[in-house]
This record gives sequence, C-alpha cells and structure tokens, in this order.
Amino acid sequence: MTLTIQATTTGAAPPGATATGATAIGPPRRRRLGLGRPIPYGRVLGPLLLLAVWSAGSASGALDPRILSAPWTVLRTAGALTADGRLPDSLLTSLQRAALGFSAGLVIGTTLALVAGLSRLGEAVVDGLVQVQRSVPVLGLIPLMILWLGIGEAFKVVIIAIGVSITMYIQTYAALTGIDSRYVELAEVVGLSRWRFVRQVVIPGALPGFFVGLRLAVTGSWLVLIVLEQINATSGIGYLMFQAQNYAQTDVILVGLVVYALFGFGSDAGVRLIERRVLSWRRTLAG
Amino acid sequence: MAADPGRVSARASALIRGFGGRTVLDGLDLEIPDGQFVALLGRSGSGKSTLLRAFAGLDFGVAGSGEVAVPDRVSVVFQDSRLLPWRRVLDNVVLGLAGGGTARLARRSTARLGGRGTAGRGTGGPGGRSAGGLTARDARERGRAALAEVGLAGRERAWPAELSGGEQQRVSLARSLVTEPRLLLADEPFGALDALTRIRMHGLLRRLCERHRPAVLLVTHDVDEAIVLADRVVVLDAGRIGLDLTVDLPGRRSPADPHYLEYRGLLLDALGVREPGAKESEGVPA
Repeated sequence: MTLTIQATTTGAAPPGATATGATAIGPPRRRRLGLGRPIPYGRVLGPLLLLAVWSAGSASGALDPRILSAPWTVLRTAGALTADGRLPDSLLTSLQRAALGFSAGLVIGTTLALVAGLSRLGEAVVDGLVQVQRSVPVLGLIPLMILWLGIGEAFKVVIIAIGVSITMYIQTYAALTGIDSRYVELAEVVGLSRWRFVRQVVIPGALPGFFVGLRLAVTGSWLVLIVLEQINATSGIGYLMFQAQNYAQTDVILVGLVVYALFGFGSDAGVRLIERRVLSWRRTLAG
Repeated sequence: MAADPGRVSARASALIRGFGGRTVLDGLDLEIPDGQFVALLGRSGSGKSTLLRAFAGLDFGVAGSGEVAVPDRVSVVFQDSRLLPWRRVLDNVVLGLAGGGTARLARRSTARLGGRGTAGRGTGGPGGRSAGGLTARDARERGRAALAEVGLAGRERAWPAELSGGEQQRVSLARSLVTEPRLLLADEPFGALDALTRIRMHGLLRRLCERHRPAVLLVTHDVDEAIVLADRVVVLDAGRIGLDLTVDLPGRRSPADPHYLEYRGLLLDALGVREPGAKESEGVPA
C-alpha cells in the first residue's frame, strides 16, 4: 500500500525537477508590492508644502497681493480683526447661528426618526412627509423663509435646522428600521418588554447610523451657514468676507476661509471623538 | 430543578405548518417528558426548524393548525451565538432576566475584580426561583454564576467581538440557562463550530443538562451528535415522525461501541442515507 503511494508521487513529479529531486534552493525572493509603512505625521506634508510654495510666491513677488495676500499678511489681518473686535463678534454670531440651528435640527430630526422608526402609524404619517420635503433642496426654501420670517436670525436658524433635521432623520430612520431581524428574534425569545427591546436592542443598534447622520449634518450645517451669511446677512463671518470682496481685501477673505475650515474640522473631530467613546464596542472589530 | 419524568414538559399535537402552499409539518404529534434530551434529525427541509420555531413561539404569521404546549420558562439557543455586540458578555447573559437591564450601579463592581477563572467554577446552578422579581444585583450574580458554569469566569467585561466562536456560543448557552428553563430549544447550536470545539461543547452541554435537567429539543443534522447527546432521537420525514428511537447506551458513548454503530445504522437508514462501505465516518445527509 505505502509503496504504491510513493511510486505514484515520484511518477507525478514536475518535469523540471531532477531525478534525485535536488533542485537549487535559497532564501525566498519576493519583491514587495504593498506600500510599506506609512510616514509618521505624513498627512501634514501636503499642506506644509502648499504653505511653502505660497510663502515663496508672495515673498518673490510672483503672487499679486490683490489676487492672494501673503501668509503673514493674513496672520496680521487676523490679529488686527481680533484686536478691533470684529473677528470675535462675527465668530460668535456665526457660531450661535450654527449651534442653534444644529441643535434644533438634531432634536427634530431624531425625534421624527424615532416616531417613524418605532411605530407603523408614525412611519405612515412622518416618512411620506419627510420624503416629499427631502426632494426640495434646503437652499431652495430661502425665498419662502425670507418672506415668512424676514432676514433676521430666525430665518437662518430655521434653514439650518431644516437641513440638519432631514439628514438626521434619513440616517437615523434607516438605522432604526434596518435593525438585524436576528436580534429582534432574540429579544422575542428572551421575552423582553417592548420598552426594553427599544432601549437595549433597537437604539444601541441604530447608534452607528445615527453617528453617520451626525457627521453629515455637522458638515451640512456649515455649508448652509456659509451660503446664508454671504447672501443675506449683516453680521457673521460670511458677511465679513462678503464685505471684503467689495473692497478687494483678499487677506480678510482668507481669514474667513481659515475660520470656516477650523469650524468644520473642529466639529467633525468632536463628533468623531464622541462616536469613539459611545461606540467603544466597535473598536475591537476595527482591531 | 428536579425533573419528574412522569410529567410532560412540552407537547405538540396534530401540528400542521406550511409555507406558500407547501406543507412542512403534516399533523405531527410529539411529547417531550420532563428532563428528557430529545434530538431531532431530518433531511434539509424536513421541518426540523419549523417544529422548533413552533415550540419557541417564533412562527408569527405562519399558516397552520394544531396545538403546542410549553412550560413557562423556555430558552432558545441559535446556530449563531446571537450576542448583542454592544453589550458586554455579562450584560448579554442577563438580557432575559427581569433585573438584567437596569444594573448601572452594579456594573462597575465586576470591572477589575479577580483574573480569569478565579470565581468559583461550577459552584452549582443559581437558585431555581422564577425569573421574575429579581433585583439587578441578583440578576448579575446569577449571570456570573452561569458564566462560571460554562468556564468563562473572568470574561464578564469582555465585548462579544473579543471572544472566539466557541466562547461566544458558550456565552449564549449561559444566557439560555441563566433563566433556569424547563425546556431548552437548540437549533443546530454547534453547526458553525469547528470539529474540535464541537466535541468540547458536547461534553459541556451534557454536563449542564445533567445539572439543570431541562427538557431539551436539539435540532441537528449530525447523526453522531444526536447519539452522543440524546436520550431519544426523533427522525422527521415528510412532516411526520419517521422514527422515534430511545438511545439506551450506558456511560460515555463511544463510536467504537457496537451498539452505537447499531443506532447509527438505524438512524442513517431512517434518513435514507446509504453508506459506501462501513468505514465511512461522515454520516451527514446533504
């Protein structure tokens, strides 16, 4: 029996192998095709390079300051605007609008999603309505809202709130209704009450989707804010930039852009931080 | 805790279930006495899972007739461990206990007490009281005891994703036993585990059942699993019971035992499997 197996193996040897089976051997030779280890803090390299090119261009006079002010001019302008109080004032106004609109939208959107996601009646009433509302771009509501509310703060807050609430609604509702049916079955089997089922299975299960909505909504609220402040405002960062455009002050415009960028980056980082805390059970999955 | 073999723990009578015009269970009668371990075999589509789901009360909206009677405390073990990934192991175990959801205060106390396996292992089952009226602290105490029973003391604070497949299934066993069920329904609970883990799980399940004495209905497609574990093997065929076999093997059941092979042959016959030669060891119908 054993002999037969050996004979077969030898007979089936590849034609390249010598009769004795002694081919030349050595360490494995492989060309590495993957990208290798990432550079530490590599992500700042690009922005730093851009800053260097910008500085060089401004210093050599290749960049017309009317087109693009030098980095140091922007810094100096930021200092001056802070000193005379215009920047802090505008910043506060803008932050207030965004925060008010965002929190109102967050509460409304999440509440609607809970109503629609947790009961069939709520779904029938709310979901159709929101789906219709969703097909109207938020910025398209500006004329109507101005007619209704004037061009004061209320109108801006309402527009931001509508945008945020729709984003929050869509993501949260999808997460609530998309809960794994296996977990529903489990809850039935262990005899959870409806309330405990919602609290311990549905809501924790929907949190990842809720956070996706939160991140989209934060970004979206800044976008809406910028548009509102640049066309219909008498205060705020956007208004500051709009005025600067009239006087061709590129340095002020750049200060505004940097502030917006910091807003956007900061709030996204904040949401991600909260998400990591709340969804700590997921970290183990990511490794 | 004590099983009374004279009493019936679960009963299905004249059970008819169908899906889309196809009859899956066709007037089936089955009685499971208290404390008996019944394995349910059958080919794919023979209605094993349908019967189990009928006992579990999980057949909402399924057409059919007949009666099902089960005790007040029924637990189900699924093929997947079905742990909620956002609850720590102990919180998963106590999910079905009355005090299991509101134990915010007690949570901290388990955190850094004792390393692995220091808690009393197998110190007997939790008290056989009803699951109602438990305080959060009692619930967690029972959960911890159940985890110790399945050999997972010390892993109370782990996330389900940090456990291996076998450990996850052990947690799910602990979750099903912590309520002291009178009837345990298991739907191919070891089907997704590797062969070595499965053998270990068989031993664990036998020990747990000897201690808690629930009536068990185990759905499986593995003939050997059925013979090793069960007091009685029922083969489903075309929606009815094709064979009802009491397994009378003493002590540790070994595949080398000639009686074991006799049972095996009988069951494979009932399942309509013909083995090519007597040596073939895989008796799993497709």
